Amino acid sequence: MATETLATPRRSSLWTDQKFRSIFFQALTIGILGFAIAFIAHNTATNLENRGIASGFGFLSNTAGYELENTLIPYNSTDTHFRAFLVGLTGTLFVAFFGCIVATVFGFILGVLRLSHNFLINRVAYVYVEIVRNVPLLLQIFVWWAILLALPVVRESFYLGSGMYFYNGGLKAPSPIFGDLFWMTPVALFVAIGAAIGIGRWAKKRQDATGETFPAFWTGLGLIFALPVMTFFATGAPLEWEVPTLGRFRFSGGLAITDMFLALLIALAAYTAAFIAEIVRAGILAVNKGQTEAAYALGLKPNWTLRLVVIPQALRVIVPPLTSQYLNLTKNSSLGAFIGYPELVATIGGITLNQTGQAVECILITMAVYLTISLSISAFMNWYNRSIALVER
Amino acid sequence: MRLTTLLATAAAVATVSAGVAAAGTLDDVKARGSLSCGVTTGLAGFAAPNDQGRWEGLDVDMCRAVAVAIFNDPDAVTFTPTTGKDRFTVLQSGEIDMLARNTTWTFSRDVNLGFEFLGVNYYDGQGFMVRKDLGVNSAKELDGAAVCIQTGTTTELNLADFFRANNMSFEPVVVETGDQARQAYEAGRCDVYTTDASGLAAQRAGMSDPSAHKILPEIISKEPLGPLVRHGDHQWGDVVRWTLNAMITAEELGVTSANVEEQSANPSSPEVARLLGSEGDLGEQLGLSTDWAKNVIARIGNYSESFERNIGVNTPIGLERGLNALWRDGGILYTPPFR
Amino acid sequence: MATEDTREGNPAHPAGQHPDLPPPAGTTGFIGWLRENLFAGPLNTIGTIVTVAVLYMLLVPLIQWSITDAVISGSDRHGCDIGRFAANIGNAYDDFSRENLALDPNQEGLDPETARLWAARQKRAEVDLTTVGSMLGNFDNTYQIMVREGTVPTDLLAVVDQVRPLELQPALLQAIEARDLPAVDSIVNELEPLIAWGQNRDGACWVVIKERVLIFMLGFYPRHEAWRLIVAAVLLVGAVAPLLFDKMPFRKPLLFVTATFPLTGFWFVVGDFPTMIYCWIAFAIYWLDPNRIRGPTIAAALVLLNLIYYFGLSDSDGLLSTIIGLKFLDFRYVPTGEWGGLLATMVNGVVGITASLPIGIVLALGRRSNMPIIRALCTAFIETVRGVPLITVLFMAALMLPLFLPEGVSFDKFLRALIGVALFSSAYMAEVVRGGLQAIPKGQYEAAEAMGLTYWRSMRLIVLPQALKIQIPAIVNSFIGLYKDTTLLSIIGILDVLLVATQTNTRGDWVGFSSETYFFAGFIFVIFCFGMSRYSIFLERKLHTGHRS
Repeated sequence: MATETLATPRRSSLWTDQKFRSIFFQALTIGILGFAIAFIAHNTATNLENRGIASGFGFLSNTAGYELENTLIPYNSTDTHFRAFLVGLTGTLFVAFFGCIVATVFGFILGVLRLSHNFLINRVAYVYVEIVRNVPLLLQIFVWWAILLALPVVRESFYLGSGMYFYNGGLKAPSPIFGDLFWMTPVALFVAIGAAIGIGRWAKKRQDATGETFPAFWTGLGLIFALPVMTFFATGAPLEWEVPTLGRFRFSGGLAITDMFLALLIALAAYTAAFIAEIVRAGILAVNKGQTEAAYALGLKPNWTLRLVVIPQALRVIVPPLTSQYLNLTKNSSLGAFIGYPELVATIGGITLNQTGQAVECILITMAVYLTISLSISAFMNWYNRSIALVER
Repeated sequence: MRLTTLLATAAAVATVSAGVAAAGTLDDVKARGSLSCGVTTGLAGFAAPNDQGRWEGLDVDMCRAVAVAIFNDPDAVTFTPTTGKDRFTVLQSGEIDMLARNTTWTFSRDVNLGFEFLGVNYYDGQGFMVRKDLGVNSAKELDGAAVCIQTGTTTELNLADFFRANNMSFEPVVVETGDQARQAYEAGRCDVYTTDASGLAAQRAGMSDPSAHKILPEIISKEPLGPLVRHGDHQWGDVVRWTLNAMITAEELGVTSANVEEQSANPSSPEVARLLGSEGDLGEQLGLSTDWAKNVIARIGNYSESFERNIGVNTPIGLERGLNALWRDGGILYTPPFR
Repeated sequence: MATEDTREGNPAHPAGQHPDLPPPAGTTGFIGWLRENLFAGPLNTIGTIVTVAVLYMLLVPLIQWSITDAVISGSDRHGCDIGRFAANIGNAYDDFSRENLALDPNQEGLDPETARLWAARQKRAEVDLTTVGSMLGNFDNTYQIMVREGTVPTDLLAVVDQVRPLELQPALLQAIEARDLPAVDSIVNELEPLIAWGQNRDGACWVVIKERVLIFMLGFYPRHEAWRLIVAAVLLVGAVAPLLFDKMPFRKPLLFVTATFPLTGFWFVVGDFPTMIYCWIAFAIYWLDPNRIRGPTIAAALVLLNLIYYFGLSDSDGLLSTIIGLKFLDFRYVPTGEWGGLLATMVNGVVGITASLPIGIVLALGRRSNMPIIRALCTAFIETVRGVPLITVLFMAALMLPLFLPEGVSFDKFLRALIGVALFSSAYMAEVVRGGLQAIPKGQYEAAEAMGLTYWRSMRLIVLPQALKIQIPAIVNSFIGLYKDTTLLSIIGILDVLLVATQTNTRGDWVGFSSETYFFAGFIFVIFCFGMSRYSIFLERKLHTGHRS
C-alpha cells in the first residue's frame, strides 16, 4: 500500500504499525470467535443433555410414521425420516427448476409488455408489477391456492382428452409403464443430442473456414426428434399407459400434478416474473438504439438483429440480477410448506422436526441443503455469465 | 469459568425481559409479579383473542387460574403464543413458566422431553368430518379418500396409524394452519377433515352450509390435553396441579363463582371448608395464601363454568361435556380429595 | 375571394412563410391520443381489447364483492351469514339443472367417460336441489338467532313479513324430498324478494375487520396504553421525514428526533422507562437554547441518569428510584407477548431496517478488508445467510438460539425473532453497500489516504457518504423486501398482521371469513410497500438528474 512505502513519522510504536495491527485484530477476531463457538457448543451440549435430547443423526434411520401426498420418489409412512428428507429435497428441486423456467418466460413477456407503446397494456403491466412486488409472497401463495381450490371437485373434473383430468386437486394424467426394451429410446436421444452438438461444431468450423452456411440447427433438431422416435418404434413401441380411474373418492393410478404444486409454481413464477420483468426492461433499455440501427445498416434482417445484436448485449446486463432472482425463487419455494407441498421445510424442517424434536439437526440439514443448492445455482450462472461476457481483446 | 459467567451476564443484560429460572419457579413468578404462560397462536375455545384483544379459552382460564392462585389477579399473566414447533423449546428454556397449549400427554413428552404433566383439563380424541352427500357412515369406509390435516401435532401419526391398521390408503393434504385445512376441505379438495373432535364442531359452524357436513362416530385416538411444566420443580408442579384440581373439585362440591363467598362463610361440608381455606392451611402448604382456591373460583369459576363459557353448548364451539363430565355424571373427571 | 383563401397551395405565400397549419384531424386531442396509444395497429388494437376484457372480468366482480355487495353494518357474523344464505337459496336453485337430474348414468351402451360425467352431473343436481332446502334452513336458523338478539335489519324485516320464509321451509323440504319440482319452483318463486335482498348482501363481510381492527393494529397491547403507540407512530414519522426529504422545513430539529428515536420509540412502545421523557426534556432544551450547545450535554447526562436507574434502581421502591424513574407517571411495561398486528410488523420492520444498515456496512467493509481472516469470515457469513431461506433462519432463532445460551438465561421470543430478521437482512444490505463501495472511483480512496485520514475516518467522511447515496434506491428496495418478509414471523408464533388474520379465521365466531381478513392484510402491506417503492422511484429520478447535470 501507498502508506507502507512512505516512512511516516507516526510509525514509531508497535501499535501504529499497520501490519502488526492487522495481525492483532485478526488474532483477536479468531480468539473471540473461537471462544464464542466453544461457549455455544458447551451450552448446547449441556442443554441437550439436561433436556434429554439425544444429539446426532441417528433419528434419520427411524420410521417416519407420517404420510405425504404425491411424492416424486416412492414413499409411505413406514419409510425412514431420511427417505422423507429425500422426498423433500426432490420436491424443492422440482418446483424450483420449473419455477425458474416459467418465471423466466413470463418475466420476459411481461418485461416486453412493460415497454409496449400501447398505453393500456403498458399501464396494466406496470400495475401488475407494482402490486405483485408489494404483497408478501406468502399471501400470494394463499390466494393462488384459493383460486385453484375454486375449480370443480374431483367428480366433476374437466376431461382434457387422452386420459387427462383437471380438477381442484390438480392435473391427473396417464402414467407410462415401460417395457423391456424401452431403455434404448433414451439412449437414442442422448446419441442424437451428441450428434447434433457435433454437427453444430462442424458447421461453425466450416462456416468460419469457408463461409458456407449449413442448416445445423434444423438438422440437429430433426435428428433429436427422429432418432428416438425411430428407435422407439423399431423396438416395438415398448410403452403402455395406465389411465387414472375415478374410485369412490379419488382417482387411482396415473400421474398427478397436485394443486399445491401448481399453486406454489404459479405464485413463485408470478412473483419472480414481476422482478424479472423489471430486469429485462432495464436490460433492453440498456442496449443502445444505435446498435439496432447499425445492424440494419449492415443489412441484417430484423430477427437476426434481435438474435445476434440486441439479445446478446441485453443478456449481459440481465444475467447477473437474474441469477439472484433464481436464488430467491429457490429459497422462496420453502413457503410451499404452508400449503402442504412436500418440500424440505415441510418434511425434514417440519413434520420430522416436530415428531422427533431434533431441532438442531433438522435445521442444520435444511440450511446446508439450501446453501448447497444456492451455491450450485450461483456457480452455474457465473459460468453462463462468463460464457456470454464480452470477450475483450 | 469467570468469563463464562461474564458472558452470561452480558447476554442477560442484553435481554429486555430475561427470564432467569432459578431454583423455585414459584418464587421467580412472585418476584416478577406475573405468570408467563404458553398458549396456542389461536384455537377457538382453547386460546384465542376475543374482539377486544383479550385472551379467552379453556387453556387461557387454566393460566389465569394459576395467576389468581398466586396473585389474586387474573390479568397477572403474560401470554406467549407458541407454535407446534417451539412450544417445548420455550418451556425448556425457561421463557415460560407453564404451558397450557392443548398438548397431548404422551409417554415420550413426559419422560423423554423432561416435562411433568399435571392433569387433564380436556379429554379429547381425533375425529373425522365428511360431507353428507358422500354417503359415508364410518371412518372404515374412507379407503382412498383425501384427508385434510394440520401439521405440527400428533394428528398425522394417528391418521397414518389408523389407516395402516385398517389396511386402507389415503391421500394426505398436510397444511400449516387449521384455517388452510378447513378451506381445502370446504372447497372439496379433501373428502375428510380430521382434527381433534373439539375442533370439528367449531369448524363446521363456520362452513358456508353447516348442515351439509357430518362428524363420523369414530374417535381414533386418545388425546388427554393438559397443562405441563418443567420436570424437577415439584413445588411449582403442585401449584398448577392443585389449581386445576381445585376447579374440578369445586364443581363436584357445588361451589361456583356465584356462591363461593357464602360457601366460604358457611361451608356446607368439611371438604368445602378445607378447599376454600375456611379451615386448615392447604394454601400455605403450597406456598400460597389460604384463600387461593376461593379466589380462583371467585375470579375464574369452577371447571364447569369455565367449560360452558368457552366451549360449552351455548358457544359457537358447542361441545357436550361427554368424557369431560364429572365421574358421577358419566364422565371421567375425578380428582384426589382435598385433605 | 382570393384574399380570403390563405390555405394550402395558395401561391400568395412566399417560400418559407407558409403559416403553421393545424395537424390533420384525428391526430390530436383525445381521439389522436387514443389512436396513437391504444389502436396504433391491428396487433395493438387486439391487445387493447383483450386487456379491457380481462380487466372487466377481474374488476367488476372485485368491486361487487368488496363494495357494492359488502356488509358493513352489525357487530357479529349473523348479519353477514344471513345475506349469504338468502343469496345461496337462489344460487343453488339457478345452478340446479333438471335435465341433469333426469340423466341415467346406468343406462346400457354408455362409454365409461360419459357414464362418469352423467353420474357426476346427476349427483351435482341432487346436491344443488338439497342445498336449496338446507340454505333456507340455515337462513331460518340465523334469522331466529337475530330475532332473539334483536339485530334484524329493518329492510329484512319487511321482506320477511312479505315472504314468510319460516312457514315455507317445511313445504320446501317436503317438495325436495319428494322431488316435486313444480312445487319447488313455486316456493322458490315466492322466496324471490328474499333472494334478491340477499344477493345485494353476499359480498365481503367487513364487519369482521371492523370488529377486530384494533387487534389488527395493536394485537393485545393494552387499549388504554394505545396512545403511546400513536405518539410513537407520530415520532416515527417525525424521525423518518428528515431522512426522506432533504429540503423540508424544520429539518434540523427533526433530525434530533431521528437521532433519539431508537431510544424514545423503544421506550414508548415497551414502557416502564423514563428515557423518553428525558429525551424530550433534552430536546426541549436543545430547541430553546439559542446556541444549541447545552442540549447534547444535558441529553447525555439524562441518558446516564437513565442507565443508573435501569441497572441500579429499577427494582427498588425508594424515593430516589421513584424520582429518577418518574414512577409517578405510571408508564406501564408492556411485555412483547402483548404486541401484535401492525405493531409487531412495524417494530420488526423498523428495527430490522435500523439494525441491518450499520451491520451491513460493517460486513461490507469487512468483505473488502485487506485482512484475509476478517474478509473470509465476512464473506462466509454473507454468503451463508444469503444462501438459506428466511424461514430456516427464523427456525434457528426460535428453536436453536435458546440452546446456545447458558442454563437459566433466556431471550424473549420476540427479541430472538428480531435478531434473526436483522442478521438476515444485514447480509443482503452488506451486498448492496458493497455494490456502492465498488462504484466509488479508486481515486477517492487514494485521495482520502493521501490526506492522512485513518481508515475509519476516510470511510466515514469520504467513501461511505458517496457509496450510500448512490445505493439509496437499492437500500429502499431491500427495506421493502425486509418489510414483506416479516409475514414469515407468523410461522414462529409472532402475532404479525398475517397471524392475526389466520387467528381470526379460526376463531369460533368468525370462522369462514378468510377472504376478508387476507384481503385486509394484503392491503396493509400494499400501502406500506407501495409507499416505499414510490419513494425509491422518486429518489432514483432525483439522483439520476443529479448525475446528468
